[in-house]
Amino acid sequence: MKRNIFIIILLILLFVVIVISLISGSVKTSLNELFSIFFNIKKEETDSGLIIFKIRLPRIFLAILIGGTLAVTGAMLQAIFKNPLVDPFITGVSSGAAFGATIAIIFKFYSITLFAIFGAVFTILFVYRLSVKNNNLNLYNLLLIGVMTGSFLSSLIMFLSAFFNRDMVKVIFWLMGDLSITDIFLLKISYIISLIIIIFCIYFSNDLNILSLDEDEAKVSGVKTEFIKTFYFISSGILTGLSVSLSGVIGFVGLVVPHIVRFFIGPDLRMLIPFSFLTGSIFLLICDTIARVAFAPAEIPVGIITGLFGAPVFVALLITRK
Amino acid sequence: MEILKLLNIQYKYPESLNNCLNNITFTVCNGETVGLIGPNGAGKTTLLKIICGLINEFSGDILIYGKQIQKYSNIDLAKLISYIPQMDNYVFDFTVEEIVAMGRRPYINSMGILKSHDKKIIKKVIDMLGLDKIVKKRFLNLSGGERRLTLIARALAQETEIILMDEPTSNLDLNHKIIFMNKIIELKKTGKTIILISHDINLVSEYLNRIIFIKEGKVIKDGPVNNVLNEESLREVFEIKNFFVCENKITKKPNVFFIPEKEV
Repeated sequence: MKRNIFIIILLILLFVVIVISLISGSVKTSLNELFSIFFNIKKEETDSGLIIFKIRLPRIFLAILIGGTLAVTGAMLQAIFKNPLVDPFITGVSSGAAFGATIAIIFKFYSITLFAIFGAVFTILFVYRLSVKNNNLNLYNLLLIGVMTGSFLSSLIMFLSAFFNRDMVKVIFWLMGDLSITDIFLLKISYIISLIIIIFCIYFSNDLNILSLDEDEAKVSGVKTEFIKTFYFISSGILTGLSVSLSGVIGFVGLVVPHIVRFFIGPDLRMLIPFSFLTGSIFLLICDTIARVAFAPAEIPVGIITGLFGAPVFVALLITRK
Repeated sequence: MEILKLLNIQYKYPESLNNCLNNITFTVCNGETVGLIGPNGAGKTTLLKIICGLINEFSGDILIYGKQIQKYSNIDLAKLISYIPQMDNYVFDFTVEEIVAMGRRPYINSMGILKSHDKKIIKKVIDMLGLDKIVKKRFLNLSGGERRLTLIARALAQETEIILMDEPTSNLDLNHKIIFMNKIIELKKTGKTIILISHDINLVSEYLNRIIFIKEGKVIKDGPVNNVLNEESLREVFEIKNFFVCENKITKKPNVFFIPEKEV
């Protein structure tokens, strides 16, 4: 498919999904109402206005950022690991970030986000080192070590929370991914930092393209492979840490989205990164709207919805892969 | 003119007791086409990897135009040597055009934006190797022969004077082997220096001009094809019996023929 057409379709889709997400929820809002709220000067005084501007809109912005970031991180991790079956969730990186955040919460350290980032970066390096044997990256080692690291850290988080008398329901919600708690200041900062990092990631992405085929060939054609790997490991860690500290552990977005996008536009990361961001935003926004509406007024963690989509897709990919 | 000089190259894999390479010394001149021949595990691939800078922990000297390779930056080295490994376990399905464009990396930035000069070279290389009909095809859909040619195209786009190839003709059918070897002759005419590993002794004999026999990390014989490819050296290197070497009447090059044990 032509990239121009694809991007137009995505932008239209994003707009439509935003509108649908704005009007749906436990309090129904009609399109007319939405229109008048947006063009009314006294917009923030009505109840619907409050719901739209104070609750739904920030949550939509959050879903866009998190969906986009997770998809981009997935695309980059897949390229570094030369393995289309990984994402921040499967490699245990999200759980690493959640673990860092948990430590910060329990011991009341200054910055949860910073600890989430440390946790994520440390886990990536840990899983990478363990899955490399004799200079060869083993695909199945990587998957198993990643999944085990993730589930070990999740258990450890639950254990620590129980031990230190934290609210378990909240912790479980967070481990399943949850877009409901929004710290507007953190959201704004995260937008700025994430977009800057993603721009740098696009800048170096042709080197990552070459690296994603073969490391020896990359080195011989002049790519500084160690620098590129370290750069993308740390960038992926920061992006995952930010997204986990905002919304918990949301699985499978980073796995499924780059796959879909690659199917349409190919594996060139210079295109894959921006397109994955857009597609990931749309995907997570749809999932979150379903999570809000399906059992309204109750909400379920968005990770349940992405898992329902993502886990079967992952198994299908694993089986069909030669 | 001497382009590549190896002096007393020794190398030992960290986990092994014996040297993988022992006192390897030879000189290659511009425009030579060299076949590295030897048993499996003789150290041929390791030697290529050392020459192109992928393995650094060796002793001895490798000089390109008289300058040690460690003194070249990786970009400058990438402008002098390209390397085509034996296997392509590619996971991501780039198009032929995209892969060939990756060869331009030493001349452009990390973003990979091609200038008109780069595009001209890519087109020239693609035309030369007859890949113009498949430039938009995805790599994983190609046949073994087309894949090889694509990787050669990428190495040519890198515009290096030295090209190293690790068993480029394995997995190719007879037709593609011959197409491939004829391209090597064309490359030689353009002044490229080529060192390739091969187990197709007769192809090496017909299409290249020099053979280096390697066994257990040592150079056993080194010289023009007609001087070194004979029964004595094959017996020494491969420890085989029941074969003979005979001249190809048209090309005057030595060829190897085999006899099953029952017939002896």
